[in-house]
Amino acid sequence: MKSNIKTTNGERVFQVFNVIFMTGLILVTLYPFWYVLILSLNDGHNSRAGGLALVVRKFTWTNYMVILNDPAIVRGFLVSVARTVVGTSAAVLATALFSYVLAQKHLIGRRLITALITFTMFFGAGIIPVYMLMRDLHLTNNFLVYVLPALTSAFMILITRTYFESNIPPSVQESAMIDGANELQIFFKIIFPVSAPILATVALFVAVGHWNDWFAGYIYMTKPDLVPLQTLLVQIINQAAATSMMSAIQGASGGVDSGPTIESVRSATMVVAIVPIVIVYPFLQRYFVKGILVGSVKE
Amino acid sequence: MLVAHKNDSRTLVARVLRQRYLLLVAIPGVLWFLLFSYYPMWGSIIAFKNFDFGLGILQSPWSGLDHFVEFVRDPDFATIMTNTVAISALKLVFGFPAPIVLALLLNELRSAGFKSVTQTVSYLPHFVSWVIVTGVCLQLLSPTNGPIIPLLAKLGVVDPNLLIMGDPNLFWGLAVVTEIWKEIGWNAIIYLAAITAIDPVLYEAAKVDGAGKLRQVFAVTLPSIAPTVFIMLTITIAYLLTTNFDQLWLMRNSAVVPASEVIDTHVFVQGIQLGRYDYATAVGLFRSVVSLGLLVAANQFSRRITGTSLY
Repeated sequence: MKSNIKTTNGERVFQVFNVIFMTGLILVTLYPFWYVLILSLNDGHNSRAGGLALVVRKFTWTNYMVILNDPAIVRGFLVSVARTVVGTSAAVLATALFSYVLAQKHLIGRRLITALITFTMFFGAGIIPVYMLMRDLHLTNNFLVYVLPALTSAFMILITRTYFESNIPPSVQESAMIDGANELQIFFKIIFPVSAPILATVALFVAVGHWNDWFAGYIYMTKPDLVPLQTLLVQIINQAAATSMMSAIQGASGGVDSGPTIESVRSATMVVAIVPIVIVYPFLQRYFVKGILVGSVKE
Repeated sequence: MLVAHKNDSRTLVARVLRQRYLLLVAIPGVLWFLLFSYYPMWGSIIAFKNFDFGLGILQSPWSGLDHFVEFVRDPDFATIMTNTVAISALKLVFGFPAPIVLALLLNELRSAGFKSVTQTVSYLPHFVSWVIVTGVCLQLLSPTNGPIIPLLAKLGVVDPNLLIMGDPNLFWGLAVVTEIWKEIGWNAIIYLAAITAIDPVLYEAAKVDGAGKLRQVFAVTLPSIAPTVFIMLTITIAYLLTTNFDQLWLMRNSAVVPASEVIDTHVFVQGIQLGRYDYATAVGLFRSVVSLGLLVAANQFSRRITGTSLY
């Protein structure tokens, strides 16, 4: 039986306004990205004249060519890719293994370990003692500073363990044990392959974290060779662009009124940093909703 | 004999042996947490010492509460605390209800397709870094060649030379607006999930009682999602002194320092840039301890009001 209360006029007006509001929200969310995209595809000097708002006025690939010819940015991109791939693989493996072990009810010290991990969600030491630790471990100017501290976290372990506990029946494990397999063999042969949803969730969270992180490169890298793209972008935004970039901009200049500018090249660099996120976005949004909702379930 | 053997197998050694594969993973995992989380907590004791590189953490002489006193007596202390609390409070007042309102409005959309498109778009900014957001704002808000200021100036709304990112009076507002822009969709997810979980029978009952749409929101939806709201509120309050370092550090420049110096940036400048590890650690520790206190207090409050709590 359908609801017998008629749609009132007030409600109809509300519906219309709601749709208008949401359309506005979509535009406000997407426009900044669109604007950076057209800036990156428009001649730099032409953009400086102002008035560019909706579409490209003087199309050019020059801004992207400048990036391609700037060794610092190319290297930064490769560092970002490398830390994302290595850091994510390592984190997924470490998190899954540790969570699986913690999901074993009979593990010695299970409650103590869980308490130890949970506490770190509520209290952290702050950046200075962590910074000092990294120095003592000789992790400054070292690629491992991206990987090791990001191997896992209390939040990731808790959502993964909850997934294992609620999705893998103990009988699966018991029968494998009877067949003579040890826990690690069970993990790699049985559990790991069937846990795609949670592993994808963890992987995507970690990968986005690695790709977007600028801070580690900012404080732990004093030499330029291991600086990731996001940290380079911070330097470009602070006008401290690498000299290689300035000379590339000047080299590509087409006279006084055309050619790339620091703003147009900055826009192109931002687009390069956003595109990988947009590419994984469909996968991201398939998994992360599930991820945060699992995370909010208390024991 | 048989009984004795059984008892043996119950000893710790036997259990350890039986769990050797589990422990092969558990021990390195625990060591990782001890090294990367707990060792720095222990290292925080330099907040009470005059740290000397040559002597190390243990040998450096004690300084008592000197660094804490120095922070409180710092001429910038009042500014730092005002900025920290004001930015957080503004984010709480405007940023906290925003995703709840968004979730309520999304829930009222008739078209499922439009609803999912809006939602998908709304959490996209959550996944881009503050570096990108800052860069985008610089371009977008430029008074000379950005699209917004010249347009508003033409309409006579703003001064054509308005430099939003260089105006200390506008910095708090900028911080709040960009934070809402970036996180509103993401933060709405949890509320939407809570709304979806409400039993439709409750709405039917409210309708039978003659409740209109608005009345249903106040009588059914909001009370039903109250536990979620209070949990999120508890977390937000606990982080009152933890401003968004990424955002504030990246968005600020020399022109807006007086409006943007917060505890986190003060720690960074003093500790990382000036190398005053002991003092900066003390300031950070002060922040962490107050935060922990706020968390406990907010949690207690939430438990008493709604019966839900974080732990």
